[in-house]
Amino acid sequence: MRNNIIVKSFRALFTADRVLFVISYGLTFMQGVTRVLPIITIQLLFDALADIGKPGGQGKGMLCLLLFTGSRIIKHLISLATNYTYEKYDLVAGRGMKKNVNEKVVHAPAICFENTEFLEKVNKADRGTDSIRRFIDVWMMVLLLYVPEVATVLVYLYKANPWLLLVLLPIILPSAVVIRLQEKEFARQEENCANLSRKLGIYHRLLFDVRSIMETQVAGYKELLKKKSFACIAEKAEWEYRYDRTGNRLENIEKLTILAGRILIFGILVICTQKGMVSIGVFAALLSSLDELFAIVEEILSAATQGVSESLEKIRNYFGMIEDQSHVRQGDRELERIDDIVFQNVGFQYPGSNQPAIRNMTLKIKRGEHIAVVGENGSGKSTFVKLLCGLYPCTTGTVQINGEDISGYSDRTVYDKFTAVFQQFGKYAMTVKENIILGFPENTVRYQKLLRETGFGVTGTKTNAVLSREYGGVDLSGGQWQKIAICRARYKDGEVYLLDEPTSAIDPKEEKKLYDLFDDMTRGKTSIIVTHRMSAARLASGILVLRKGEVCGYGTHEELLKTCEEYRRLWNSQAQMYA
Amino acid sequence: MKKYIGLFARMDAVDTYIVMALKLVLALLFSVETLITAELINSIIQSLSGKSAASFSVYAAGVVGFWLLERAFAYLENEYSARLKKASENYLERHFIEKKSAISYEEFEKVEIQELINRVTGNADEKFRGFFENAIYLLGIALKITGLLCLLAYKNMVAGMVLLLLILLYFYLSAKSGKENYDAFEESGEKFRRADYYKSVMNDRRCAAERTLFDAGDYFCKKWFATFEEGMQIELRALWKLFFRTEAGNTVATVFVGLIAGILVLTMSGGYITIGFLIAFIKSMAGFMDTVSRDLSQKVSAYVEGVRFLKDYEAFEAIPRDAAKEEGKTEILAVTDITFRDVCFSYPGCREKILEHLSFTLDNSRHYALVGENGSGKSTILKLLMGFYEDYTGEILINGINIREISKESLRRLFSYVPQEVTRYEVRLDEYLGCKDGGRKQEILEKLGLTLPSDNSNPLLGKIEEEGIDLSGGQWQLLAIARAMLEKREVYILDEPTAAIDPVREAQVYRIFNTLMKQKPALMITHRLGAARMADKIIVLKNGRVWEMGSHKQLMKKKEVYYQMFETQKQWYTADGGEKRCETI
Repeated sequence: MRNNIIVKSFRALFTADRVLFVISYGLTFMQGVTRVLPIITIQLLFDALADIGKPGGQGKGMLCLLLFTGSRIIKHLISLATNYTYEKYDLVAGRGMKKNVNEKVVHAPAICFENTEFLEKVNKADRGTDSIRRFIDVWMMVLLLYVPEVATVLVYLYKANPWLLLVLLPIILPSAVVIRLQEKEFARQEENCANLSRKLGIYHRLLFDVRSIMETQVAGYKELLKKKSFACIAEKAEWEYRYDRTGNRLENIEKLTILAGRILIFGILVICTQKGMVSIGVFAALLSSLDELFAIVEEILSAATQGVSESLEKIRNYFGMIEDQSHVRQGDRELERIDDIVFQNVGFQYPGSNQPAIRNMTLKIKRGEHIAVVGENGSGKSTFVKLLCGLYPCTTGTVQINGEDISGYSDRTVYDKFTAVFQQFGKYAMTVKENIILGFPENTVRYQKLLRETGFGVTGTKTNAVLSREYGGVDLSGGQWQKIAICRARYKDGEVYLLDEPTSAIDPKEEKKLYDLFDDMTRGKTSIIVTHRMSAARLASGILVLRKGEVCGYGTHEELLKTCEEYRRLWNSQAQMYA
Repeated sequence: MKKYIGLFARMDAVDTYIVMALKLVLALLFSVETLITAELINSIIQSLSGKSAASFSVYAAGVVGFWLLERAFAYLENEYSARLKKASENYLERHFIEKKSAISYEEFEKVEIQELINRVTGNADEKFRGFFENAIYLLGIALKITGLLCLLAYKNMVAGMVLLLLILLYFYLSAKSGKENYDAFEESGEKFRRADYYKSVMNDRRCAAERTLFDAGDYFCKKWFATFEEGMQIELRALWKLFFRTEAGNTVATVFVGLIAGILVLTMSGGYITIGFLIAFIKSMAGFMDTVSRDLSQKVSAYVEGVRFLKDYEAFEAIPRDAAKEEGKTEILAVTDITFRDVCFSYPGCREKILEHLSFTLDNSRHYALVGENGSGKSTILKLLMGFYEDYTGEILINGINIREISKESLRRLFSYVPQEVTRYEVRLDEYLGCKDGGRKQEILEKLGLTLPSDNSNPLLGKIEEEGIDLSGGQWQLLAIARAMLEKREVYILDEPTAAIDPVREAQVYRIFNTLMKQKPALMITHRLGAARMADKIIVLKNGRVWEMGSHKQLMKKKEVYYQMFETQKQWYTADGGEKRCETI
């Protein structure tokens, strides 16, 4: 199983861009080789310098100096080519893999987003794209870049004195252990501090969000929130301090272990050199190479012991996500037009919920009808709307369009027939135009006309400004955003209009105008409007009254006033104010 | 620069100086190590040719001693850095919270100020410390190379000059490239952040339904790809320049070092320069160049980033604050009347006047409703009354005293404010209500019909911690009302509850508001005229001024603006309102 992942990762990286892959790692190997040259040439140089007093010594010395300088220059040039190619490859591969994840996410059925497990999987898959590259890369670096250098130094050590190699081995093991412990400490610290950071973030928001400042200052919460923030800060600083010190101590142990080995090797080398068993050149070259060697060993150990299991998990999630075929809807029939939508004992429960949001609904909506849906918060109105257009699959019962089960049709052919203003609509940090048109074919005249008809009000250059403060742009009021959402729905257009509380942020005077607009724009179409404005509901050709996920009344305003207690209750709560 | 070391010194003087000292000593010792190594090699050579054998072990011990000292210093440096980090985190984060909370409201609403605040206070203490550490690192490097320079110059002036030239050249190029680097990566960084935004949109669960229906997912996918591509191109160009400069610099440095070594070799016969010195010097120089070339460009970029951050920080410190102007102001404890006289106001940066010669008087024996459409200035009046904006013409008086002369603290304490959008303060119930009297608290909660899902009489509100209780929007609203009822303040200010609640709940809230209005002087804001008509007097706001004022009966008799507004709203609920829709196709 594990090998399978490694092979898949390799293949994923390779296919991301074959040419770059080969060039990049090819150059890495060359870089590894060119790193060996300075080690050898510095040894020759030092040896030549040691004999400089002898006849012809200066000439030889200069020659070796030239060689040394030359080898370093070659190393720099190859470094340039390698580093650049590597970074380019990294970006390209990353882009390719992230794109794969994105495509899977955008084609996932809407209902998946109500499932926290799915959301977590997406998150891990995203991080998996980084993990794959880092994982494979570390091992490639070790093999291609470091092995030649390490091998050369080891050969020198062996030739100087075979015992030196034996000294090297025991230092490696404790270092590995300590490095692993360091990582565990770090992970623990992250977790503790993450919680405190989150709390601090909440207090911060309460203190400084523009929308809450007034209330905070008038009600007098400022000092309380400051006190709580300070307590959080102190606690967080204390935890971090403790972990810093533990980390420092562990690092010290690891480095002392390595230092011990280094001193031992040094001692042996000094004695060997002094006895003439090792040349001055080799001695000096080894001294300078040993630092490099230990640094590389540390890096290799770190990579080898580093959260391998966590990385593998993220990588598994990546492949799990992009190979998943289970979500694609099976149906492929085409839908010409919608004549009626029938609910037959439909029930629906959200994933992870223990209460059904919709129970046993049976009704029929015919083409050309204009239905209002009313009910208290939590009665299932918004869920009902999503079931109507097939965004959510019903848990029990069937939803039928034109007498056929909705799941028999292809997704897009169904979605094409509907358009909607949902309660939660996207307020994107793009221009007004982009917000309305989204991915549909551009028609500037048309979108401007639609915008005008809603009485949007912000014209000219401002509509080119990117919305949302974060991108230095204009921010709009709730009402203005709703108008954009309405334009968005109209721009897409469809046979059936679904409007879920489309005027909740708009004041009564504007609201009346918008309801007139709704009348206009849904003429000749079918419309379902969820509303709290009982007065607007009353103008529909039929009113659906929902309560706790069930239909408790369906008919005209007059009929319902007589027969439906819930409707009476809803109506009176508003009408009373004007009686 | 000195200012910022000063800042750190204020935070924790001892640790700051110790850390600095340790780093600097280490840098100086670098030159010492070179000398010891030189002598070691020399003594080994001498011993090989049969001269005194003992001294080499002394030098060997010296080298080992140096390594041990280096490790000890590194350990100590980390210890003291950790202490400094703790002190700076505590100090800086508090400092920023204090400063931010004192910024006047008018400034806060400005977009540029918000952005400045975000730039500065996001991980500010990390940035500060980063800057400090980078500065010390660069200083350390400078000292190391200076040490080597002195050693070299002492042995051979010419070689010394060449090295000096190299150093100056190298630092100049690094500084220049560091700045350009930073700019280029800023640009690509922005693109990647934008791409991240599109990614977050694709992952967002809230609008998933709309995204699916509108097939907008693909659209955002394409946008992501295009933006990422742009970022990539910019980053690659910047990377090429960076790598090119780095390796060009390294090549130049290598050539120079070769040159210096050549000079030394040629002048060796003078006897001034020993073989040991030559070898040790080349070794140190090569090793130094290797470490520096890895880090320098990045450190210089980080330094540049630090300098920019400090500029932002100065701007942040300069933002006008409240407390400064509070001395000498009066306290006020009771309200007999509130008067707006000829008040004109427009929001900063807007030409349009929201309030135009607004005048009215409220007295504490009545309760008032303020009505008008969205944008007519209702919430603006509240903001001015409670002292959040000062830049208006005209006068606002409480008990005849101009509120500009009243301290903001005591001004705000006059009002019990129930806002439009209730904030969810995730604190303990008693802290939220600000009430220590348990009996009274229970009484009010019962009256409002608010039962909390907890056995604890003082539960933690909100899921800020595991033990906290989750509350619905309606429950938070009732809590805000409970708070208003428990606060011992003079006047109720009741802002219309946000529209997105169902009619039953809205009616309930207005019913409660009406009860409250009978208890204390109150000002209710609403555009639901059906709710307003219970007030003693209704103030109709239009075009930024008071259009009509009177009781419901009086205003209806007048048959003007109020009458029209009321009738329009009422029409929705009467028997003959509007055409029914019953077409079929």
